[in-house]
Amino acid sequence: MAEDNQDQRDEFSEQLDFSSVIASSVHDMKNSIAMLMSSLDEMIDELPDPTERQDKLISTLQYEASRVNNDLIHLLSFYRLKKNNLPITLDEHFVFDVLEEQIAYNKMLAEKRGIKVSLHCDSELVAYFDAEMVSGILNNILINSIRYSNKSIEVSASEVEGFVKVSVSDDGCGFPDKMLVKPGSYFNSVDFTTGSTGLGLYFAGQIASLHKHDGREGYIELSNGGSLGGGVFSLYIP
Amino acid sequence: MAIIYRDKSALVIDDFAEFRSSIRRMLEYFRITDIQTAGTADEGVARAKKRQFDIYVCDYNLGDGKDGQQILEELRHYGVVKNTSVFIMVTAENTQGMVLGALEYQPDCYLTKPITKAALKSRLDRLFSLKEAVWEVNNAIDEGELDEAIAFCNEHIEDKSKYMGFCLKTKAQLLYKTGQYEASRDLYGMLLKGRKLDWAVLGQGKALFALEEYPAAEKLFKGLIRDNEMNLVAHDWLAKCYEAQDNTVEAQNVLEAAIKKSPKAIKRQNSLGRLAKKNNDLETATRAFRKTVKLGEHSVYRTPDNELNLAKVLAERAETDKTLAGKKAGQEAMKTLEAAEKKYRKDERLQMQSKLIAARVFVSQEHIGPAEKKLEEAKKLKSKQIGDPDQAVIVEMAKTYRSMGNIDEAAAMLNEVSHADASDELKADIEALLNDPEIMERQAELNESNRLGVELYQENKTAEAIAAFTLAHNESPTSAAINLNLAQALIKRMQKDGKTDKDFDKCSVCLKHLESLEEDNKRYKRYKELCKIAASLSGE
Repeated sequence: MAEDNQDQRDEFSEQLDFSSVIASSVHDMKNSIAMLMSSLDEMIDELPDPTERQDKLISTLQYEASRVNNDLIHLLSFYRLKKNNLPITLDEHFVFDVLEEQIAYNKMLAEKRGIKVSLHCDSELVAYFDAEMVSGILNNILINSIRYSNKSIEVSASEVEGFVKVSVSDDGCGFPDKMLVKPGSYFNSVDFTTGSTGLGLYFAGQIASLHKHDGREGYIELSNGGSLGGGVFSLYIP
Repeated sequence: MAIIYRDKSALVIDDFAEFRSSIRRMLEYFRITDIQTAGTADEGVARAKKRQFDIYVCDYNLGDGKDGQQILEELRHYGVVKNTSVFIMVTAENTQGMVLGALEYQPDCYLTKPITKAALKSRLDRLFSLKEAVWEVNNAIDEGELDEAIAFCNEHIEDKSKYMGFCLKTKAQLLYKTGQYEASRDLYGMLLKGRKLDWAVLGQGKALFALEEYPAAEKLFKGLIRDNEMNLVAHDWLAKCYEAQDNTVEAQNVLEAAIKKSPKAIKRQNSLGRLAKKNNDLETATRAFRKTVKLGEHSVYRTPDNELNLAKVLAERAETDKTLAGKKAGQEAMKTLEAAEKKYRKDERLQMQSKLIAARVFVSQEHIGPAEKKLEEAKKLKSKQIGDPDQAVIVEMAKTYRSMGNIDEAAAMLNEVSHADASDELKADIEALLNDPEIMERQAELNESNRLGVELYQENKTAEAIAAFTLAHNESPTSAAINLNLAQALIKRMQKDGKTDKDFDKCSVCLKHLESLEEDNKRYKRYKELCKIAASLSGE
């Protein structure tokens, strides 16, 4: 096993030039995006009464910036996955806290689009997961949901048969049928005409499966319907 | 629980002005008015040392110089950042936190850029809820009352409070810190029954190491590295396990692997230098110690030992390597010492050692005059010192006497050193000196029991002489003189009172130690004679 890793790394080091340039550029771009997003946040604060048109433009800006940011995160994650360097750090976390933070993170984006995000989760529910990684998954899903829903999004978490299930449901028109395939094969559905959605789901599936306990593995599930009638994304953590 | 921010203070450290002002405006939005900012690591540290803050927001990537982790280390090192306050480390990537997550000094949380107001608020709310709930625990830790802190943890654990998890983790760490290793190991073990958590595995490994259960600890650290090769702290501990089991080569390999991934950790570079020196890999040792000098410049680990370690290993290369490379090493040693003497002008310990090391370099260059002059200077400084002389200075002095061929003084110096309270670095030096054949012999001659044995032997008190030589032998089991003396006395008794298995076996052990004696050794003839008599005894 150790030798396999070594081989992969050696193979990788031959391409190091290209990938390290990419990695360092991505790093730089992430800084710019971060700056862009926080400037945007502040600008919104200082705009007393934006017109409807301004609101629309702002929300486009926010959405697109978040998407670019997520794309960059995917690129970096991909770089690490290739290097076998995507370790996860499990710890005990309050699920409510993590969900609340991700909702807070996207609060402005949702508000600008007139979408109400509700949270249903026992505040003492704990789970064992990598908070950074799972936050990344949820952020990506939330941004997508905000884009595709009409009025409301429901984030919920509960214990289901030995897993903690975190769901993000919306009242949009749901996932296209071809995306409702079994977990783990989302990469095949990456379609460059739909942008990064497929890639995001691929990483979500990868990261979920890195969460293991007692012979069980984490996974993700897509469905349509749910309490709001739109798309439902669920993450299962063992 | 609503957190009141109006009375809180904050320090923001980031090299980007835009980020600083952006965070500042967010904090102001939360009604915080007492806010300071710093654009460089040094400024941040200076501001933090002047007064306490409730909130620290520190960027990890601060351009050249110190990074956020080093700032945190320095501030925690000096006890500037209290456990009751909140320290947030801002990272550019969400995976950075993981890499840093296993380090000894931990912030309260990592936040990944971009940071939004809502996200910062939500994180601060959470952290302060925790800090307020477990205030007594953290306050006791800040006051150094660790047992009290454990008692407060126990209260939360008994109450099964929301923060029980935090308290269990803290308690396990505190048990370790207070030397209750068994209890710490068991608590981690209990925590690990539910889940395999990296920090608990690491904690348990450390406790096992402290209990000298090296193979068990080794297994845990190896597992951590297998799961995450970026777990550098696990590398450090694995290396310690190998070293404790006398496998210094493997220990060096592990540290080199860790350093490849993160070359900036000065403590790790120092350990690598020490191990490489033990393994006689002087090149690696030189590289590692060079790094400690460079890295130490602006850190809390700025100590003259960095320069001394480098100069020592360079001097050793100059002494052992007569090629151009050795000559160059000697020159670098002199340059290092010169710079160090200037840098630490008032540090007598450094000044003495520096002169002693320089003397050895001069010897290697066959400049005996200057070497003697340096030694004299060091001796003069030493004679002026009040109180017990520093162990490191004595060892250096012994080494210098040895290199100048003054075995008597070297051996006498060594008798002043106590092995027990020497540091790891010193121990290696002392052992090397003690294993030097000439010094070993001189020491044996100085050995009180041996001398007494010789007297008793001459008075024909053979049994008493054997007892005295046995004592001496226990102290220096490899000394040729003592082995010969003991063997000779044992043979004398067997010749007189008849052969016993006990005496004969003991005698064989002594003679076996002498097998490697060279023919030109002055003791060779006597050794051969004793062998002949022993052989004839065994024939009877």
